[in-house]
Amino acid sequence: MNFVKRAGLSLWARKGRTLITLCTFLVISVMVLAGVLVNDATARAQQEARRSVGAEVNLGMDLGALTSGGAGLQAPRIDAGTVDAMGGLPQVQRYTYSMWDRGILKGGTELVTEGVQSPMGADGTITLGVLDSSLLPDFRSGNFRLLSGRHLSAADKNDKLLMVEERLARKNGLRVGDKVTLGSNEGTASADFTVTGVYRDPRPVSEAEPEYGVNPANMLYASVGAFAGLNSGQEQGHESGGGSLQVANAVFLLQDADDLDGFKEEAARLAGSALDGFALDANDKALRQMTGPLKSIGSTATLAMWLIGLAGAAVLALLANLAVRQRRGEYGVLLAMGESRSRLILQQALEMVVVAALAVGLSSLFAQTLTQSAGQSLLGREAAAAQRKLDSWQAPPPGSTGIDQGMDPDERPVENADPVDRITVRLDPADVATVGAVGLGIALIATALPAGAVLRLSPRAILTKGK
Amino acid sequence: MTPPTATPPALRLEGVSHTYADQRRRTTVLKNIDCSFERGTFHTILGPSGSGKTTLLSLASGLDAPTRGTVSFDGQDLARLGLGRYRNKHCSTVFQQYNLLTYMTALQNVTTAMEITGAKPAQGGRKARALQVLESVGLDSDTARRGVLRLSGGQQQRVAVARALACDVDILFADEPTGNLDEDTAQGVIDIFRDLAHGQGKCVVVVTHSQQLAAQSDRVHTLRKGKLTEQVNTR
Repeated sequence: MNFVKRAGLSLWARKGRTLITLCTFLVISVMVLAGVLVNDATARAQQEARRSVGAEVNLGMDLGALTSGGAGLQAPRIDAGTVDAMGGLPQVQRYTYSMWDRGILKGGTELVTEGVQSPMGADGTITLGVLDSSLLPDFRSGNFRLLSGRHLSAADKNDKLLMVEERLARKNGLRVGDKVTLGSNEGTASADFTVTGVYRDPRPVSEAEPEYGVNPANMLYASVGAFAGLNSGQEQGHESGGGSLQVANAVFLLQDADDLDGFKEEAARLAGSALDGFALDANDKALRQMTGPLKSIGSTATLAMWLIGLAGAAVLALLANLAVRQRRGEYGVLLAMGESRSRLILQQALEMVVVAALAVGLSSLFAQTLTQSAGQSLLGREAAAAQRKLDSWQAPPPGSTGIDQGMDPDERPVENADPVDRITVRLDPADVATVGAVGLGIALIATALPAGAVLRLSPRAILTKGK
Repeated sequence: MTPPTATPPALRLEGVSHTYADQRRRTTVLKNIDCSFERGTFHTILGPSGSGKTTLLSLASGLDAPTRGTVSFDGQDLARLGLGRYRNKHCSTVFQQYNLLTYMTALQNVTTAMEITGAKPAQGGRKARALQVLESVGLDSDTARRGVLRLSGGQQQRVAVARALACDVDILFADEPTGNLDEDTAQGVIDIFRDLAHGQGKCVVVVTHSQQLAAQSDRVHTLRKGKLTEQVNTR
């Protein structure tokens, strides 16, 4: 252990050089630790964001494929049996699906005529066949509220049940249990549907329903099997008349937000080509919107961490190499005494490791505060820029998707998904251990290069000074 | 004290030649040297500059291996014994430039050498033995605890000698040990070497230009044009 004592004496005696090495290592440690801490903090914030958007996967038309011309103008449909199979996956807690078509009110029931006029004829309106209305996003978010009765459920799939909006119910004096005659799109068939619930949509009648362009008071929700059966023979699908039930959208609520990726993979494998034209969206857009700034500073921190780590290793290797040149005489004397070359290298490595350990220890004292301040500042700027971009988005005119005006429907901001603008930096022992390992690696790399020079040292050449 | 006679050689060089080669030329410094160095004898190697004295010392002290021939210690070829082991266990070298570890005190220089060579004093610890040896070369304990860069040239040379003595090796080599010293100090160092050879039975080999030093040794080896001649001093 003689070399340990020599290393200590050397470090203490050469205070200037030790201080320069310590400062270099300190800068590297602080930057690497800051990178690790920012990455940890952004990973935690992303996890929280993922939890906050919920464990929900929406199956819907792939707007990206539509705008890129990959899909036809016809909205895609998927067999309900396939969706049922996806809903049966172990990650799924509950699920629903829906299809839409024009429904025609008959038997004296009238549409609300104030505000937006129906684009589907005098008595025609959009009717959404749905498996479980309580799982529709607007109901789950509390945007729509059930005022009386109950939701449509999977058990009602083939029962002729209907949910109507409060204003339509008031105009027609409808209450839960009343019958409404609903005709098919082409008017060739009709059936009496029982009102099972009355709900409230807070949007005014003057504001068109954004997806279908109808008066929000006139939207109808019907049991999916019964409504599809009413439209038997039509292209949108149904299960009676020999065809299977085809649906346009589905929502899957998962047991755990962490199951999202696993579910998406299994669902895609299970459905195969049936998913062509569809996208499985695990609220990805909301998540992207929320975590964009986090990813930006996370990748910047990772890049900076690697660059500084490598540059630091190079600088330290040069310092160590320079030290070997300066210490040729010392090494020559030690070799002349019969000291082994491996111990000389160990002494040199130990000196580096001691300085590295000191630097890592010192950096851990203030890196958390420093990183919180710097990371927060960076994130604040990124989040503000992202928020400005979202705020500058303008909705397309009513009744238009905006595609004709060159607008990308995917750029529509998701509500209640503001970019994350705060991170909490937390220093864990594991982070210090990571930086310690990086520091050790850098110290060893910085020693390995001059170690070659030590191995080639000739004590005769050094000590006789070429005599 | 008089040198013992007819003792078996501690170190023997047989047919030793040494050539330095670079890209342009090869220079043969030593040609077919045969000589031996016995315990209890104070040897000097004399010769003009460039005659190969330092090369001979390097080969004898295990700092380098000869191009041809063998160097053996107690009958064992150094190539088989290992140069590092030979330097570590059997010999010490005092250099003209002292070659002390400059970040240490005089005492630490001596104890470090003892630790590296594994020298274990019969009585007391290494530190006590180091202080004793330093005192024997005229350095008191206060001086011993000073950084070597704060010592005079003569004191540094004494530290170098003490470092070699403390390791308790069989052979002590010295390269121009009095070259940088004033007359009194130089004589002090020569006295130490003589005592080491005659009092402690060590083999002492000193390379020098100094006729005064050579005159006080038991055997003088003179190098000229790569050839060695030997002369026994009878005093």
